[in-house]
Amino acid sequence: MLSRIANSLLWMGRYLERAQHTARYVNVHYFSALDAPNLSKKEYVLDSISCMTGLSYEYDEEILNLEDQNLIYKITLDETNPVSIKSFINNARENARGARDILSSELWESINKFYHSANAYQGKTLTEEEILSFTEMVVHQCAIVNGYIDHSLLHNETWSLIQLGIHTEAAGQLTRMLIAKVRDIEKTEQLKLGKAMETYQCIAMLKSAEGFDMSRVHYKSVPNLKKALEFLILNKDFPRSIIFNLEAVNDCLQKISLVKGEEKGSVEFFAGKLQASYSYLTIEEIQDQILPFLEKTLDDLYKLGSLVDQKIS
Amino acid sequence: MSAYFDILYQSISEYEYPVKEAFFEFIISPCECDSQSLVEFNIKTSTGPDVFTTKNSLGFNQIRIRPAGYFKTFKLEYSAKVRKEELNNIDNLRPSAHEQWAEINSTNFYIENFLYLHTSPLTVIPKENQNEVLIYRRSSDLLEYSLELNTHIHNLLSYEKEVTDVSTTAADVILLKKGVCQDYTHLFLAMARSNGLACRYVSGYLDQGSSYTGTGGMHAWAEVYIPGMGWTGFDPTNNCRVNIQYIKVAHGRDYNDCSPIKGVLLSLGENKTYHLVQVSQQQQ
Amino acid sequence: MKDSIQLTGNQIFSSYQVEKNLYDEVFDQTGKVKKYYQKVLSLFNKLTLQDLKKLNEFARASFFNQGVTFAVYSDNMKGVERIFPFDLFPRIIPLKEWENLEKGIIQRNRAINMFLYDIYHDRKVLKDKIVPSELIFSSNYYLKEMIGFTPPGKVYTHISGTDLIKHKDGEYYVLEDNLRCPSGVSYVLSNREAMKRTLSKVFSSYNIKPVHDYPEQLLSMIQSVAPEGVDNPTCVVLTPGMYNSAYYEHSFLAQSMGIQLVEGRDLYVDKNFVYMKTLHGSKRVDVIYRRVDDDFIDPLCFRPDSVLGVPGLMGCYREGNVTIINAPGTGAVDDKAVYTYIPEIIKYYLSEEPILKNVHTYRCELEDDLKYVMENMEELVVKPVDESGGYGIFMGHKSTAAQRKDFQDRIKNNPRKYIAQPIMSLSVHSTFIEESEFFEPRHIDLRSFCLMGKGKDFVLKGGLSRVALKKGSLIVNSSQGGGSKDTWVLEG
Repeated sequence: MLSRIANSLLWMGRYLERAQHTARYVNVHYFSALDAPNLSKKEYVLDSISCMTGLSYEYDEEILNLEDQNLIYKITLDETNPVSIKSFINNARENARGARDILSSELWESINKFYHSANAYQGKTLTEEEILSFTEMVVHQCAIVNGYIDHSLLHNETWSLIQLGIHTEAAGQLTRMLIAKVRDIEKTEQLKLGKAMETYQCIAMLKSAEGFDMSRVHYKSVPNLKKALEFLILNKDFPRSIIFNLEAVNDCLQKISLVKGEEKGSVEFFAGKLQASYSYLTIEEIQDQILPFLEKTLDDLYKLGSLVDQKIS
Repeated sequence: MSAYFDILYQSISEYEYPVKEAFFEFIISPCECDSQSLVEFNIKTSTGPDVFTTKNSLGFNQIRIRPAGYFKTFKLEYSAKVRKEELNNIDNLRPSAHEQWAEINSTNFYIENFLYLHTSPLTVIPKENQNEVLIYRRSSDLLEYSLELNTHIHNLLSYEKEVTDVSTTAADVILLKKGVCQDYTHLFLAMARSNGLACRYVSGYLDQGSSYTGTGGMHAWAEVYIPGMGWTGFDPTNNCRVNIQYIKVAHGRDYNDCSPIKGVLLSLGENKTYHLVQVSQQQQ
Repeated sequence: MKDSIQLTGNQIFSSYQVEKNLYDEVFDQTGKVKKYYQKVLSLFNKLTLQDLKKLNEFARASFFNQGVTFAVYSDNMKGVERIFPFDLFPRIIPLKEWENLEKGIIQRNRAINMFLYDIYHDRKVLKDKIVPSELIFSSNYYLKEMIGFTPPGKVYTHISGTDLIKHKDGEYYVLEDNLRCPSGVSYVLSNREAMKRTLSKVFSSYNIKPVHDYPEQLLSMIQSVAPEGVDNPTCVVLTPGMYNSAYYEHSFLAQSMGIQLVEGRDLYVDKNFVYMKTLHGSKRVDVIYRRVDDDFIDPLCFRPDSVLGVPGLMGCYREGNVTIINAPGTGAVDDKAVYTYIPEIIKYYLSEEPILKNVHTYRCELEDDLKYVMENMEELVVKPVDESGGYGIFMGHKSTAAQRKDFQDRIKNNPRKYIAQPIMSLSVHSTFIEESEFFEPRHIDLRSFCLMGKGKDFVLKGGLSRVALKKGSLIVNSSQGGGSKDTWVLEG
């Protein structure tokens, strides 16, 4: 396989995953805020969304002064914003287009349809129904595309590279989401809103990772912060947890590498070490220092990403 | 009588940031022709043994290098020993002026030599400068005309470095009235071609033991096709005919066909290239 | 006497006009449907407008979702994606008529290859003054890098696209020879797929020559011209990248041949061989089917600012270590001025009469022709010799006095750049027009696709019928509002 194509596949996976996570986060937070207990300030929600997507309130005057609707537009449909959902979809499709001769036509057509569905949203402002339908469409189309990735491709190098991109990104997105949520919780604690608020935030956290239902099945109880974090970081059976994605990253790297030896400094070595450090972790060890822990995780994931890029190009 | 020359060509390029990928092409190797043969040569580069050669479409040697891995400096050193023969004096063998014109004006001559009859972008004389062209009359002898043109160009321009560069055209030079050997040559070619003569650009080395102008780097001169004599060299920079001290590397329509160094690279930032040329005649 | 006949009796053809001074492919001059169109027409007659619109929509959606699109050049880097409009009413060519066309196409392209070999070697044809040497040597597409070099099998135009039209006299004429990476073949295959999906019924009642073997034929041609001594050649399709207007076709061809689609930056030259960079190291490349223009394939030889090519490629090619398809330098012959000499070229090399006709052409560089052109601007089409895609064309019958004056000046300034031809009345074909919701006659042409390898020739049965969708327009190029039809070569 051409190095350039390998790169396209990897990034196609990454952009698809980014679009999906961002869409789900916007969806969950924008709509759960409507019936949040004790007037959970809408600005916290928007703050949280912009923090998760990497649009920083604090440094950017322009963002700070945006109206709610404009902020939502910037995050969802604004093609001039490189971290909008629309830009992610465009990039995923461009990467797929660059590699389309080795993709199945079913997969390509599903990505292309996804792109055209997103293009149907043209307005500069979005009604609440449009925000809902757009974000749901993105999550839904991603699920379809992921289905074709799994069921219409050979599970060879091509598939492994897309998966590598997906899982690297999934771990990163989840970590960012957790950081945003932990910060939200710290902020609302200052408002002394009590237990109901914590539960509300935990549910939003789990829903943003499509993990609410399964965590209830797993714990057979209403979530608290400790359980939610344990579930999303350390549960090896839950496909969106950090540990699950780190294991998947390792599997993909094994499939792609011709050399089995894990040379020190290589991406395989680094990924293996990272996964191993998570394997024997308990929630008790990290819960008190959760923010520094998550920030360290994010750093490690950035490093992993750049090692993967180096390996491929 | 024959003579031996030692030639050294050095090129050093320095880059601000490491270069990831590059491809270099050098046309610096003396060619093999009637009066000239390559006794030995040696190529060294700072990036290791990545050297290979090929011939360009006109049959001249191209030295090519694709360095492996990143580098910030690229250095090439080419050395050669050349044997030169004194040219036989065959000036007297040419036909009459009328017959000369008939030959170079024939269809078959055009078909075989169109490359050197057509002007190229570097060798066009603008309409408004036509009055500065030395006119060739069909009654004149081509050798005599070429010598006159050589002197004409030599007198028209003054030699000055760093006022022109490799993209300077004959049209620029005729306004500027100064330049270096390649500018003299381009203007020579432009005037000769506008008169319907076949002529070509030559790059090469000039013996540094001589008192000629332009021995600091690679030199350039022109060749005109003269019936009965064949391709005959003229150096407008020095207002003389080419002799044993001229070592030819390549010819072409203009500089672009003979450019000593070309490169394509993936890099950012500034870069600088230095050249060094040494040519010396061996004492017998 | 009326100059058109109105058809009656069926709904969606009710306003169809058969024009007397044009050749209608479907109906004869009395308005009677031609025999080989009867079945297809009776099928359309059974359809309601609603059915037809539905089918049309279905076909369009299938193209759009597959991404069978081309980009229209604009200021926007992304380029606007459009589908090449597709018309459901197929164009039918009876086998007998086709066989003659096919012979003519092969004859023409053989002669063109011999001509190319000659102008890059002994140039006998120029010395014998069959073609003026100035015409060849002043062409920007005549490459000195090709002089004296012989490509494998002496093949230059491995893939050529001869454009044909049917005039009102009912005869085919060659309009131009496309010898530099002609495009459009992917539409032929996609059109056929779309037709099979939408109108399967009519397919079963006709015996239509298949087109699906094209990728296989293309690959075997490509392999046949691999460098000497390479048994199992690695072949690639070289694309300028996904922003190119024909990117869909490039990836389609690579995918259907099962070979790698590469960009210039995927390739490099070392020790006079070409390699591609892969995830697991380098792999040697033996044959490059490039869809990048000559000017851009090697920045060391041609345009130094090109990032689409491979530095050093021409050196490897001249050493015989890699084959480039089509050979560089073929553009010297698909020049519109050289076109006018093709009948003489065929006679010169093959000692045969040309099977296909040429449109009479006035060469503005010739004094008499120039005079004629200047005096008859209104009856002529004037074309620059070196532009493709239908750009810069002057249509005399639709021009204003000011436009004529402007073009006369342009021609006078550079007569070598222009040729003129009588306005050929391209044949018309029933075409479903969305705006009027009726079938209407529209002008069509035919681009054929011919493959030439070592010891084998192949012509795709049918080709691409292009339609000028604008009423009265003669310009069929996709970039200028053209569409296309499936083309059926019918047995029996």
